[in-house]
Formats: sequence, structure tokens, C-alpha cells
Amino acid sequence: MDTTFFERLITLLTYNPFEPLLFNSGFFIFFFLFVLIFSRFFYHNPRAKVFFITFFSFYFYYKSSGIFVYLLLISSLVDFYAGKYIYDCDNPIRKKFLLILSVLTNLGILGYFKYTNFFLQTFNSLGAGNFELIDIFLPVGISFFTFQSMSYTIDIYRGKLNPEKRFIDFLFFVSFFPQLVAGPIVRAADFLPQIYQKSFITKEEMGRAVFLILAGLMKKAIIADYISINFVDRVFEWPTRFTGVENLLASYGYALQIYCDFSGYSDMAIGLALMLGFRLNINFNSPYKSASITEFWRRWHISLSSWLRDYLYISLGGNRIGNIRTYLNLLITMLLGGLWHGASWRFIIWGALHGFGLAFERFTNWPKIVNKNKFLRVLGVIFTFHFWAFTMIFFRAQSFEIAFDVINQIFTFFQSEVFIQWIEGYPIILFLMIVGFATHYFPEKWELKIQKFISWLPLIGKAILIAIVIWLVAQFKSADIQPFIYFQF
Amino acid sequence: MNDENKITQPVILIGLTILILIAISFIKIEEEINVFGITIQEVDILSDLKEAPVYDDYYDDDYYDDEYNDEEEDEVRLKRNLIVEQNFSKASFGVIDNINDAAVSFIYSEIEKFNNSASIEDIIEKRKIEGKTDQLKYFFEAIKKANTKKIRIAHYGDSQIEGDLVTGAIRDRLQKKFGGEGAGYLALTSQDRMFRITTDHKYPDDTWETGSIFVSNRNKWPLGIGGEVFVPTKSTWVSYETRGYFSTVRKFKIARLFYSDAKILSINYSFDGGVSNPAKLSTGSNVKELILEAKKKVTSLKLEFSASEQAYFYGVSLESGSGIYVDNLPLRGNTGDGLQKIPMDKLQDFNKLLNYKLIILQFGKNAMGANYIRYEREMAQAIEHLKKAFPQCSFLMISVQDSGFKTGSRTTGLLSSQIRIAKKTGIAFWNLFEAMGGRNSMSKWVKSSPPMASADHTHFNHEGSKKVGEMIVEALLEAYDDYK
Repeated sequence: MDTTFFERLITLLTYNPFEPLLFNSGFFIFFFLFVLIFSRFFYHNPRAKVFFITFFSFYFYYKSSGIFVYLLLISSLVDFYAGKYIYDCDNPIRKKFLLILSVLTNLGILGYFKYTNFFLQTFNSLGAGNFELIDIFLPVGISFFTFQSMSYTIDIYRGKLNPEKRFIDFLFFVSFFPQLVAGPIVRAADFLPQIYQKSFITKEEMGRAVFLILAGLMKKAIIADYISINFVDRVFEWPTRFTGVENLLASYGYALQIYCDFSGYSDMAIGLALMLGFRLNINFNSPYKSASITEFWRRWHISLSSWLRDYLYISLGGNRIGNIRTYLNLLITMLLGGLWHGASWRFIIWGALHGFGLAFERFTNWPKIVNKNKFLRVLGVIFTFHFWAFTMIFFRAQSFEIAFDVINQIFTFFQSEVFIQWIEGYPIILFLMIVGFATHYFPEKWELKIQKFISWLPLIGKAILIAIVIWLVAQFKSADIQPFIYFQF
Repeated sequence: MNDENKITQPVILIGLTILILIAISFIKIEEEINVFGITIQEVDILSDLKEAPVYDDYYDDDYYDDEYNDEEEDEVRLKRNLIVEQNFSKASFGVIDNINDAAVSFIYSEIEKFNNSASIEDIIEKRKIEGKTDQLKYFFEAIKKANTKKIRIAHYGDSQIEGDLVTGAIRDRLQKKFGGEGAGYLALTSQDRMFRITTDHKYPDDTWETGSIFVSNRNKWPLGIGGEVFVPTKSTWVSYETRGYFSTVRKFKIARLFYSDAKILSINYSFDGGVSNPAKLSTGSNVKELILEAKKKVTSLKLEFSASEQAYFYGVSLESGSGIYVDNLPLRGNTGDGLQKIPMDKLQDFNKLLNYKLIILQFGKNAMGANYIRYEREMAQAIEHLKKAFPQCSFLMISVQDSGFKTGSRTTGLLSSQIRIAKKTGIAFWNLFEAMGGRNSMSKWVKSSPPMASADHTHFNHEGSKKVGEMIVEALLEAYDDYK
């Protein structure tokens, strides 16, 4: 259809259900420039800065979720006032009541939007009812911002945090756009004190910010997106069409994809926040270097696992009330942590597998044993990665049936001779997988060296570097789908 | 020194990056450059604000330009011209009108977005069957008599029609309208039995040897209508049980077994797990059928084969009385040119038994990136081969679907190639690519709620396949109305 310039401009600027605003979309860089201009202009005037960034954050959320921008506002209002009243209240019972009210509100919102159909389906399949499923739109990032505001009220209740005086400051904390839709889950105690500091960024931090944005872009928009659409998704769509070799490679591929996708997005968030003068904590720390599952969960999605530890595991009693309770608490924490990732029994099973894994390691003191020598450590890394890749089959497959198909193909229809054909058939996938895994296992020193190099580059050099990566991303994004190959065996 | 505040730097950095990207958008790529199979594209950061570019590799409405005689079609084109003219006149009124229009459409679109759902209903386009629609006369004449006769359709395609998803939807709609009960033709062993939604198909492993177009035919056995032939390697059995996904295929009354060159003549069969009955094959090298009729409508069939190399078996058809039967014939990984490999005499034998009135060809994905000149020649030969074998049959070619995050030049290249094939062979053509929403529509099918395509951005899922099947039927029925 023919459109005028203004119509196209409005289409671009308004909410489009098909095009959520991602960091790696073309529009985002213009949006970010605007934010930077305002934030620089008001950098000595924190109140104005807070106001404008909050405004832009809400616009960012509107662009991805449309009318649900009000949900963000309402849930923030509830938590802000809950925090205030909890703090002001002297009666411990009323205090507790207010806390429960606030937690239930948050979980209620999350539960309604994310889990209603899951519960209806579970009821139906148990024969307990015959409920029609409801067409519910899942607002973007709801799992993240509800957890973020819950940590605020719980910390106030525990006396670890003083409530914010001004609503806008709290709103700024909840809606801050770099971490709004996909984390990291920021703690109020870490973030709020930064608001009223004068924005600053050092030369080294500039290099680090650019490095994180570039690394994130390459991980998310090149490696993850390309291997998923051209290989992994095909296999997980219909695993029985493919040999065991391909199913195994797809499982490894998915382990790489989910890491690149998720950590890449977190890296970009941290880099973008840093450019605005805000420091967010690291969210992924080369998780596939872990020699045990216990270590893994200290390196993977750190902001979530520490949240679960502080607000769920410890609330359940942690390891203070006996051995059996400790194991049980681990299991419950991981089960609910699994459910947080998605409304399906597959995520619960996934969480349970990790819960059992953690309990087993605690029982056998495995994390200590494995660090006794290098050899054991290498074995531990290989085993931990495979345990993870195995559990991720349940995470990725759309149904239990498909998950079991994948496992079944790997163990009963391996056809190892197809491997050579696979290498010839999917050279780009192979290349990206090697690059993805190899860079993951690089020593940390190298990363620091690259950061140092980027810091040393003049601004124009940094700009050229970013432009090159964006150009590359565009090439991979618009590349034709690789042909489907059915190997002969 | 190092602690110096560089807070101005990010603004300048991002500004500079945007300037460089704008500069890059002026670079025009004249020749096709390929790096490891990825075609280098022009990158234009401002493309969303510019008018949709005119592509020279494929035009949406260039099909059979010289043969547009349909009055309605002319009307559509006239309207389109009118819109273009209106836009011209708008331009002369200047910016104010544009802003005004934009504001009005903004308000309307914001109101529409209140339900927040991403639905493909907004992007799919009702698309007529184009090209040689009068070649569809054999089919249209036949369905006039659907209440007294059996009308047969063959649906050939690649992996996108596996599982009987798209075909199942076509069959369901047509059988509900014109009658017919049963899933039609089924192979004796199949690669997609794990996910066939209409039939639960079982047989013991390693008891059948298969010759086929798409895997291998090392014994040079004669291939049947589905491009496959099956020979038992020891005494074995095959069972089919209907599944309830579509209502018209839940029951059947007759099973027809197709075979040739029978050496050992006795086989056994049973319906609905009942007593096993003997039946006799007949000798001879042309394709024959063994008709097994149940006393009442049934839901399952079991066939028992007594010996190895008993005969060449081709398939089984589950049917009832008069009406429409649609055979799902997927050739995994094939471009369609393989259909030439089915021997002419076998096709002619099948035509005598099954009397096809419409053959739908839905291929493409596996030809992507191939040499299109060669593909056009080979595919046209395959179609001529079928036309010769089925002289009283209509043909409909379905175009390749969109794929990928964005539409690549290989897809549009293949699309224009398919249009040329349809033109060259004089058969009807239905543009699935445009019907599903045109350029870059696949990513919307994936993102739609509920999703209509799988995350591989190539295959339609259950919902999407159903939609595609329904859209094909809709186009066929519209052409039928025009014909009547």
C-alpha cells in the first residue's frame, strides 16, 4: 500500500504487536540517541534526568506492549505505597499483612497473565473441569518487573532498605528501560543510590560499555538468531525427521543459542545502562566453565538465582532448619524457579531436575571434590555442560512428546556417519558454533585486553566498529534461509 | 586522569555511528556478492521511513498480464490506479493534508490495537487463482457430479505437506461441502507416520524395503503414484487406524490395496480388530487393486503379508461412497522434478483406477538457491510428464511460501521462476506468497498469536497449515463460482 511519510513515521513510532522494540532493531539506536541527548543535557540536574529517562522508559514499554503500559504504572503504584506503609507501620502483624498483600498483588498479576491457561489446562487434564482457555496477552517483561518490585517491598519489610520518598524515583527504578523487559533483575538497594549521583563514565568504562554492546549484539543477533532459525528450530520442530547426530548437535546448538540470546541481551542492557552512567551487576559469568551444577547456578542468570536464593530459599528457611528441609527447600526453589521461566510442566520438570542435581551435589560434596585437581575439573565441566544440555531439551521442546523424541533419536538412531555430511552441509552453523563455544572458554584476561583496546580507540574508531557490527547483524538478519538438508544414511 | 568524566562521549559515539550507517545506506550493490552462501544486501537504516522500494526481481501482479480478461480483475486494477492517482493529487495539496491523514489513521490504528493481539488476519490477502484458470475445467465439471461419483485430487508437495496437515485441511473442507469419507491414499510405510494427524500408521521395523524418488531406488523397482514402492522382506503386516483430528476421515467403508507383479497371491485382512479374512491378489505387471469392503463403517484396517518379495505394493486407499478424496503425497526434500521418475505406464495404470481430476503441486523450498534455469526446465518436464499421463485432469501450482526473518532474493527469484513454469506449462497458479501477506510475512506468522508457523521460519504449524489449506480451498471454490 502507498503511504505518506507521516503515516510511515507514525507506524514506526507507535506500538506494533508484531515488532517489539528490541535493542537490536534499527529503531532502537535512534531512540537511544534521544535518551542520551536528554540525559547528557540534564546530567547535573538529576531530577530532570530521572523524569526524562522515566518518560522514555515508559515510551519504550508502550512500543512493545501497547496498552499494558498502564499495568506497569499500576503495579508500581501498589508497591510504592505498600513499601511506604510497611515502613511507617509499627505493628508487626499489620506489617506482615501489608507485605502479604503486596506480594499477593504482584504474584496475582503475574499469575493471571502468565499462568491462568496453564492452571486451566492442568485442571482440564486432571478431569476436574472443562474450562475454555482464555486469550490472554502476556505483557512483555512482566516476570522481570514484578520480581524487581517484590524485592523492594520485601527488603523494606526486612529492614534492609528505606522506602523512596518520591514516587517518580521508584517508577524510574522499576521501568529503567535497559533492564525492563529481559533483566538483569536489579535490586533497589544497588540501584536507587545511583539515581542522585552526577552521571559519570570513565574512559575504561566507555570501552567496557562498547565491548558489552558489541559482544551482546554478536551473541544475540548473529550467533543465537542464525543458528536457531537455520538449524536448531528445524530439529526441535520435528526431531524424528533427523538423525541422532543432528538431534545431539541441535541440543548443543540450543545450549549455545540460549546462552548467547540471554546473556547477549543482558550484556547489551549493562552496556547501555553504563553509557547512561548507571552500573548494573553482571548477570552471566561464562556459565559453561562451571565444574558443578552448584557452580553453574552462581554463573548463570545470576540476578535471578540470587533473587530466588534471597527471597524464596531463605524465606523457606534455607539451610537453617535441618538437612531434610534444606534438600526440600532446594527442590521447591528450583521447581518454582523452573515455573518462572514459562507456564508449562516442562519447566517444572526442568526445575526439578536441577533441584535434584543441586541436592545430590550437596549430599556428596561434589563441588569441593571436583575442584581438587585439573583433571577432575575438566571432567566436571564436561559433565555439567551435558547435564545442562540434557535438561534444556525439556526447556526447548514444545511438548514432552518432542523432548522424548529428541532423546530417543539420540540414543536409538544415532547414525554417526551423518556427521561428516552435516559439516559439509552446514558450514556457517559449524563456524558460528565453534566461534560461540571457543570464545566462551577464552581466559578472562583476553576479554579485558579487548576492552582495553576498545577504550584506547578514538571515538570515531569505536563508532566504525559499532557500525561494522550493525552492518553484519543486518546481513545475517536478511540472509536467505539455508536450504533444508535431509542426509542419506 | 582516568577518572575524568567522559559523559559526553556516548552521545557523540552513537551520533557518529548513526551518521556512518546513513553513509553506508548510500552504498548501492550492483552485482550479487555471495559470502559463504550469504548474499550481501544493501543496508539502509532509514528504510522504514522511505517508500517501499520497487523490486525488480519479482512483481506481485505481473502474472499473465496479457491474459487478464476477467472483468472483475480489471476492476481491481482500475481501483488500484485510482488510489495511485489520489495519492498524486494528495501530494499536490501538500504537507498539511498528509499530516491530517496520518493523524486520523493514527487514532484509528491505536484504537484497533487495544486488544493487543498480533493476528495474521490483518495481513493475509484474499488471492484468486491466476493464469490458465480454464485448465481447471476438468475438475470443475467433475465436482458438479460429486454427489454420485468419486472425485479424486492428488496433492504433491515437499516436507511442508508432510503429516497430512495442509492436505488434511483441504480434504476436510471439500468433503464437508461435497461429501466423501476417508483419508484417501496412504503409503505402506512412511517417514512422517510419527506426526500424521489423520492416521495412526503402524508396521514392524525392518520388514519392508522401500524404493522411492526421494531416498533411493537401488533395485530400480517401478515407482507408484506416491513416488514410492514397497516390498516386504519377510512376512509382515501394516495397520491403519483413523485419528479424530478431522471429522470426515474418522470412518471408512472400503480399503483398496494397489500392487503389481504379485508372485504369492494370498494375503489376509481384518477391520476393527476383527477376524482375519483371506483375500487373493492377481498376477500381471500392470497396477491392480484389491478391493476390501467392510460390512459397516470402520475405523481401522490391518493387512497381513505372507512372504518376502510377495509383490510390488504401492499403497492403500481408505474411502467410502461418492464425494471428494484428496491424496496426500509428500516427497520429502524434493523439488518436484523427481515426479518424472514415476514410469509413464504406472501413472497411466493409476489413472485408470483412480481417475484424478485435479493435481495440486506445492513445491519450492528445496529448490531455493538452485540454478533456477535448470529447475524451470526440469519442473516443466515433470509437469508435462504428468499431463501426458493424466490428460483429463486439471493442474494447480501453489507457489513457494515466504521464509526467514526477512524475504530473501532467493525466495522471490524462485517465485518468479514458478510463475514462468506455470505459464510455460499452461496450468493454473495460486500465489501463496502474496496470499500469506507478501514480503516479510513469515516472521509475522511466527509472531502471531496464536503462532501460525514454527520458529524455523519455514514450516507452518498445525494452526498455520490449517489456515493455508482453507485459503487454498477458498480460492478453488471462488474459481469454481466464476466457472459456474
